[in-house]
Amino acid sequence: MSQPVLEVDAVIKRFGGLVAVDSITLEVREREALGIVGPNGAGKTALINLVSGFYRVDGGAIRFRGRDITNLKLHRIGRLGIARTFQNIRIFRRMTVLENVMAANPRHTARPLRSFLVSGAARADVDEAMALLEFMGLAGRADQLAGGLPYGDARRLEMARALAAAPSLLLLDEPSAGMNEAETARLIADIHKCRERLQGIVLIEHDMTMIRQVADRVIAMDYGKKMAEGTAEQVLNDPEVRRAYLGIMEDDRVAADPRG
Amino acid sequence: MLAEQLINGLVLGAMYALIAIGYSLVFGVLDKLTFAHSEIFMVGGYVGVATAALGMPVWWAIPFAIVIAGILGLIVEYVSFRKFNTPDGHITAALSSFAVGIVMIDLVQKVWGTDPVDLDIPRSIYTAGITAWGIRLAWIKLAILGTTLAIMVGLQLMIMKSRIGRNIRAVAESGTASALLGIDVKRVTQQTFFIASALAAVAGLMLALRGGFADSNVGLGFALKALAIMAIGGMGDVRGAMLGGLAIGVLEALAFQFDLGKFSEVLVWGLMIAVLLVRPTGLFGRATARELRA
Amino acid sequence: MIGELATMTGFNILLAWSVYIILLSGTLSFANGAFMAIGAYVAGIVTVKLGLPLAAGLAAAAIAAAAIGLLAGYPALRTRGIYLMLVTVGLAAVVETGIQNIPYIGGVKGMGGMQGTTLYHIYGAVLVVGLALWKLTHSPLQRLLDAVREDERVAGALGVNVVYLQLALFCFGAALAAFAGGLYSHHMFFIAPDHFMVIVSVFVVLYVIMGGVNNMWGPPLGAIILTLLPELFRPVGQWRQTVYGVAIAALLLFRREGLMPFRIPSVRLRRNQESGSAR
Repeated sequence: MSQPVLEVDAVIKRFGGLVAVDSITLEVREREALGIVGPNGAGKTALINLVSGFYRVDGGAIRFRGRDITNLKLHRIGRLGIARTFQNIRIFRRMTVLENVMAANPRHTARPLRSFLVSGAARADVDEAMALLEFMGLAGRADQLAGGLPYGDARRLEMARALAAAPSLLLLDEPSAGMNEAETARLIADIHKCRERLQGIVLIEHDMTMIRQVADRVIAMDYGKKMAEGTAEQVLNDPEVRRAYLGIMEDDRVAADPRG
Repeated sequence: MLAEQLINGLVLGAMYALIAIGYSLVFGVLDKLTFAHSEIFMVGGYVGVATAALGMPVWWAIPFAIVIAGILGLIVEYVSFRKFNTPDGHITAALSSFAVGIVMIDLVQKVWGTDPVDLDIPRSIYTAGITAWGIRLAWIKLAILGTTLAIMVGLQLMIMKSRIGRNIRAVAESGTASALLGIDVKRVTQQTFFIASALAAVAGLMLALRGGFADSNVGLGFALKALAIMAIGGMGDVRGAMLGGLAIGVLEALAFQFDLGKFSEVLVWGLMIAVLLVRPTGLFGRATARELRA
Repeated sequence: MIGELATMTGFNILLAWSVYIILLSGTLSFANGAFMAIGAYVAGIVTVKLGLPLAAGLAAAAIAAAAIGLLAGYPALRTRGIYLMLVTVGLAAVVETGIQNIPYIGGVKGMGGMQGTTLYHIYGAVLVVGLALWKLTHSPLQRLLDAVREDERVAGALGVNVVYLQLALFCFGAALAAFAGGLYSHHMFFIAPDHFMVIVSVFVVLYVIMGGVNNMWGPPLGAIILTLLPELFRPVGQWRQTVYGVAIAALLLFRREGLMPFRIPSVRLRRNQESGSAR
């Protein structure tokens, strides 16, 4: 049995009196895409923040490929091979699409001062970045400022940038938010394409179609705790899970969440 | 001797406190620092000079200082702070208020020259006093102390009890929430600048009275230290600024007593740096959860 | 007269760039006047008291400032925004008082005997720094720094050790300011603490903000204009400082981002339209 790519071991996160993540234990297995569902406020993003190093852990441990990464510094976790996207899209708006992707080049991010000596428009770097942009269908917009991108393209850019860091584990936080059906279908295809390059994916989503088509296993969270675990079918049909989403599910898509 | 130095320290501290409170009020409401504050402080001294020169009793300079400084404060608010609400606005506001400050210095120097100017008041004010318990208490010092303490008490009352004070506290807590509650944030900001500037000018007047002269170069040295004090006491916390000012004033006086005067300067700034590193919101300030801003 | 003006302009360009280097990583330093002071004195000590050549003095100046930058910078960079501004102001104030109280270097009365700086030295330095910054602008490092300024946390998540970068640049900026300070003292022959008051640091920041912070040409432009402005207003005579202040306040009001606000992308694609999936 090969080692899990990611292990979250009884991790706790508190904000003052509020417990955002309440002793959660889960794992992402080799080559697996793990889906995480749950109402807003369930602690899903907090979990991603903990794994990626944006939050410090208040209890428990996180292991990446067997190595303890609990409370490791942000850039160390990035260099170890964990990359993520953000719920509210955090691309570098005043830089071009191409620059966004080139900025993530691990050769340079790991040795910033040394990169002073290299040319910024080095052929190899540009080609690498363009290949990624082609892969994500953004090559035509290479010289456009990221801030002017339409919504769907901006999301794709963020994913491209995350991939440019050559990660083994990719954490996606509601990548299809605000997308229509066509764009979502395309996103699903893009994620399928990426899977070969990655050893694991964690996908937070409200769109159940995405979950069904992408996730190998699904975890449902609520109030910082794990509510259910299993295949997409099992979890999405679980009575507890349905109750948590009661009244706010229509056609496999969560509409406006009153608890948002 | 020690007791006399303590009184000196309190007098000094009261002046620091008034200036620091001003910085605190502005920071509380705008999250920005004003570098014109130090020059409004400087102007206070010259209001005293002008009042005396016009033959009026020098205590009339207090209301004059309040009004003139208040107006200057409103000008500073309009020119240097109203428009800069961007994320990096605090830098531009700081630099702009600095520019306004140097204009003030120049204008003052045009009228009165660059050298310190004596206050045209009878010298006897400085020698009159009583001796109690072996301590020499000059009336002037007691008067300064009394005035400044009264102002601080009055200010505390105003902040806690009056509607203006409540509005200021509300905006300091949250500008957006206040606006939603119907508070005219712009008006409150103007009032804050008026009050802060008035305090600084009174402090400047007191300084001039204490020394007997007004100096156009005191601003940066004196008031910048008050800025450090504000940072120590708590950015945006009036109580902290007050206590901090008084404490540092006393400490400085004591330092001079024991011939450690040179180090007082370094001490204050070093203390500020230490506090900012360990607890950026100051000793009394409100700590914000930095982590929530992932 | 023109020579003196050119000299001062040269110093101010170097100082402006020293702040710019630090600003590249998102840190605003109000302490570069202090680093200049440190450089001026250290260089002076090395040449006057130890009898070594100017080059040794300048090297010592840069190294001393970098060391102090490291010591002061590391804790300081853990603060942010306005607090960081204040810490650097505090640093400048401490250095100013410190200098006044060290008898070895003359205390309040100052120190003399330094000489040897020529216009060639100054503009040679300007050229070298300019070339280095040009190289920087066209390297991947520029992109990394831009990313850090755009979103520090995200840059960190991509693997950039932001604190290390900010510290390194802080030290480089400090060293450059000190180098300029060393040249300065050897031009003035005599220096005293009141040449290096906190105000100097503020003026240098002003040059940068006025000229524009988004590319390497803004700071020298700001330095040139603000050095020559007082001379330009000479006819207006004694009202220079007021006009100066009003001009600055007005410019900040109307051109918030500085005179040269635009950013040049570090890499542009020069390709024909045949490839590129247009979807």
